[in-house]
Amino acid sequence: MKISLNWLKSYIDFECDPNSLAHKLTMVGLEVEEIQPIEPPFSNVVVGYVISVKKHPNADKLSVCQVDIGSEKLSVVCGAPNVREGILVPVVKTGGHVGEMNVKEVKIRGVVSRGMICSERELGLSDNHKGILILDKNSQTPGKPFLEEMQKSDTVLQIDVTPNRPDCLSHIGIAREVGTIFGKSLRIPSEHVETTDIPIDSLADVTIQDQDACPRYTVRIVKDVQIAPSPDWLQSRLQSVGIRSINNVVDITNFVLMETGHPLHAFDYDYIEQHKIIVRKAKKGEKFITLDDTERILTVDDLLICDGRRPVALAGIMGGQNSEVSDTTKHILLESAYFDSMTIRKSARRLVMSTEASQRFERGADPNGTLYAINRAASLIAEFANGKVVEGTIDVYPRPIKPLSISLRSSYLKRVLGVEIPDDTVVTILNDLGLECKSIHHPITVSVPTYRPDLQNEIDLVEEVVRHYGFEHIPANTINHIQLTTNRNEAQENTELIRDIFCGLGFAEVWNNTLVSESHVKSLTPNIKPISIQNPLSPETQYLRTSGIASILDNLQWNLNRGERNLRFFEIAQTFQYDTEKCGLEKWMIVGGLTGECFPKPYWKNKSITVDFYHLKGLLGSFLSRLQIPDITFQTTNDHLFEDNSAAIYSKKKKIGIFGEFQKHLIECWSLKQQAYGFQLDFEALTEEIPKITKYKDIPKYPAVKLDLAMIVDECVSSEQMIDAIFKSGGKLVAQVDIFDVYRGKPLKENEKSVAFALTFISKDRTLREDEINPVFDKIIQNLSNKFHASLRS
Amino acid sequence: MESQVTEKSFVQRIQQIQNEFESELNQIKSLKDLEGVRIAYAGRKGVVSSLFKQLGNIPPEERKAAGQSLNLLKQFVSQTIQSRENSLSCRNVKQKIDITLPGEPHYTGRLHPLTQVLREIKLCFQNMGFSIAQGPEVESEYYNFEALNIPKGHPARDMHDTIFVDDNLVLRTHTSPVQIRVMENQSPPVRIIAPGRCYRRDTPDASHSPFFHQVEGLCVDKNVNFADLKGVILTFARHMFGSDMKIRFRPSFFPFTEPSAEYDFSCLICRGRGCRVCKGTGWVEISGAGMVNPVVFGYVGYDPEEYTGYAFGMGIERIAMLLFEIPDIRLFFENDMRFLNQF
Ligand SMILES: [Zn+2]
Repeated sequence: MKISLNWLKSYIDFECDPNSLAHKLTMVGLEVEEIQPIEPPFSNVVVGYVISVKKHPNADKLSVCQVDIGSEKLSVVCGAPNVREGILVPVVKTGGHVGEMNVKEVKIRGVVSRGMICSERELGLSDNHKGILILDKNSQTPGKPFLEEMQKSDTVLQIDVTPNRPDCLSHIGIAREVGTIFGKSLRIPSEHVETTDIPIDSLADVTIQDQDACPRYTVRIVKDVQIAPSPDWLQSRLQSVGIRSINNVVDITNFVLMETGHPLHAFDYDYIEQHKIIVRKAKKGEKFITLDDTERILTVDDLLICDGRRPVALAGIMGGQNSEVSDTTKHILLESAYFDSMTIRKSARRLVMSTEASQRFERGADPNGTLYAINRAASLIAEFANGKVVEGTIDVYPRPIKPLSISLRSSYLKRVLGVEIPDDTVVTILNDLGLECKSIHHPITVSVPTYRPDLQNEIDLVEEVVRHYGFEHIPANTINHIQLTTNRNEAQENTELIRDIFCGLGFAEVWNNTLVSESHVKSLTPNIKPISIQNPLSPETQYLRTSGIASILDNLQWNLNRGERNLRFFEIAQTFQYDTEKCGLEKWMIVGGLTGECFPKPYWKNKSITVDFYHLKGLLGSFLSRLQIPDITFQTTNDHLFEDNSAAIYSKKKKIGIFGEFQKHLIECWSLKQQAYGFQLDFEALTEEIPKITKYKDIPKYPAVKLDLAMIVDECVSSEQMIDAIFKSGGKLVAQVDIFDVYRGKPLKENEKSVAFALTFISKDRTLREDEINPVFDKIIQNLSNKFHASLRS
Repeated sequence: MESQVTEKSFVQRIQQIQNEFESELNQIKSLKDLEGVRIAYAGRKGVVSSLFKQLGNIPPEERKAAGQSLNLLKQFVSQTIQSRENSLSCRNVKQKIDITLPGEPHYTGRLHPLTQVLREIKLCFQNMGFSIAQGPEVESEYYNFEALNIPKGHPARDMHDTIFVDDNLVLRTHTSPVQIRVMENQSPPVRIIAPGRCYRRDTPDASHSPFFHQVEGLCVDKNVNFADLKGVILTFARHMFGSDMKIRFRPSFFPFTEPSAEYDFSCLICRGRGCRVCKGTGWVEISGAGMVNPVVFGYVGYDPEEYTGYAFGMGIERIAMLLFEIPDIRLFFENDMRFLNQF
């Protein structure tokens, strides 16, 4: 909402510079977004009478004019072809300005010129530059300031009015807040109307068919108006708040709108057929051309103002072309109505029309403000368009809306704010805001004017009081008596733990976009039904992601394209899928990716080693071991994400994740220039397996005995099978089995490998002797030989 | 005439000795070996000095030339020994360690800056007795709007550019629905913060992202008031940005709080004196807060005559951008290593 300070000052007197006023308004909840100083388009311009015009001695196209400006006579050089004796013209005196030009006494080709006669374009009034502006003799006298109102400088505040304050979408509304700030009372302009004695009832008739959508409809008629340009004060007012001047009648309705916040509409009375107004809902598919020359196709939810035959306005939004006030209009039918906010809102939304009127009706106009607004407009039309106001109003208001009465207990005020505010302060604030206090003690009871539809409950009065009392007067209480609680959030704790472990393993954490394109969804999870967005900003954000892996591939791509070759990322990623029962299923995954070398930079001591399956398996092994996930096994998997060198991770036979080398087609699809590995762990499945409590086990008291063993076996025997066999045949004494070498090649046969184990034997209760271990060791060898046709490598 | 030597044979002898010297020098491995060679050649009774003694046996007219050659040998021996000595002692230094050589490189894991900031926020509020609650990102229209006193058709819905899944499901526009979910399942006292991802239909630019992260706070109990809210926000401001932080509350409008406020912190750049970042005001806008609207209590069955509460929100990105002076919100989600590695 734009508020002109010059305009504001016609309702209230206050002394305050614009910056401080803006700050004060902001601190009562009317945030001033911009303070815009307005310089007048011209200054020191007066009406001048051209006494004589003589040719310039040294220039063909110039003339030297003697101009009477009342107090003195000026000699002015003028180049306009239409300058002649006996006309009235606007003259800029020396020291004044027009547009960018400062007017000084100058010599033009040897002749002194002490002013400037202007064209309309020079004054910024229109584009007309054919000659100087010749003024009407009847309305102007020499020496008077020309368009005085336009020569004042002003300041316009751009205020961000919150949706609960329709009353502040007006100068009077803002003036009321300013009045409360400074403790000053308002000057509400008189709406007194001189009327003719023709009764209005004989001239028009109003019927409301839908009283819910239109609780009140008020009409006045003004006859014999003279449509003309508005007086300059009116043009200047509208210009300051960004409204284009049209003609005196339309401008007056807009002026009253900006003054009171109540939207009005002026119809050309002669185009209201049968002089009837009918307020009704539109028929399905009904067509109507609005003022902006657009045909609107309506539904049964739209409200129409109709005459005896056809619609003439889209209620509360915009008038119709067919009854518009024009230069030939003689009589005016003025509408001042109160429409239901929801009805107007729905139509305005659907038709994508947001007008000054609709914005106010949507938020809630004042049902009891129709009369003041219509009378104010009528009186202005009488004054500035020479209209004759017809006696009386038609005011259809079958169920009057009465002001609410709300009580405010001072105990409640204190309970909510934590500070005691004296009753008389409370009463003053409420009264200044126009909330008339019917009782000023225990409790304070106020009558809430209907221009404040936001005030419904006691708590709303608390807000009104504190707005003007000031939050800064409430202390910050840093002593709190709190209930001690034990609401631990395990999921959050696990999330943070997992983040720390991956971070410790050298992974960088990423946070990725969850709004993704169709290809993102289809390429990785063709079988999951995604959640689709009804109103996406672009096709790129049509779906909620179904997989975190795609995001990780994005991260690899982004960074590889920027020259970083060695990368490792992880994300604790929310993924979504459509679920018929729950509608949206949110699933949290731990995803990650890595590519490049095992060292992030070249290392002078070692040759480079590229990341591979075992590198990632080792990292994930560390991760799982840190979380103490029990009974972990790895199984082959043929997941579509990964190549053959991939595996699924199980804990206690429950699958908790997969990892491996990304499939070639994914690498191609994301244009990664090198192979990459990734993993995906199910957050819930994984964290379920984190032991709640760790129980202490005795630390071995007796020394361990270590023995190495290398066995030659067929390629198809897995190391896991062999280790299992070792533990089984070794019994309790075998504490640990590690693989320290795998060898293929000569002298082994084609399909053979040699696997070397480091065995650790420990006993809980004694130091092991060689003769105790040897039989166990032999048994292990025997068992491996039998089971896998393995032979001892010597 | 017993040992008359010609200049020619003398020079040949010098050449021979130089060759022997060089080959002997090639054999040596330590400073000790080098000392042996030095004594043998350059010592007082060494080869070179014995050659000087033989100079007298050369015919006088040839003596000068022979002397010159011998001097050259002497010079060569002493210089070569010196440089060899340098390189031997230098090898000793190398054998110790060159501490300036790079160590074994390792990947340095990083926590995302938003994780770091969120942890700090959680730490602060957990210290003040708040627990952590969560809710779904795909949220029902009821929890996201209706139960927060934003009925269908309410102009306040315009304040949220909502992303819809269907007519009844939205991507939550704030984490405030978690308030309702918690209050439905728990009787007062309630003290929670709810961090999480939210969505708005905003075109991405330096200060907007269609998804972003909020922390919602809620406290409901007997005798909870606005002064307590101010205390909590002040404590948070000081925890996050330093003990000289000031806070400011401005009246505002949110349907689920009444009275509602926007709260500001003193500008981090100029510490309240006024600068370009804060447009000269000395304050930067953080987020909204207020007392829980009794209408909301009605939706969850709390008695507003018995309980009061306050609620507040904050944007994690906003706090992180202020803290780290990050100019563009999109940097958080590009996940560029050159960005992530800074934190
Ligand atoms: Zn600043």
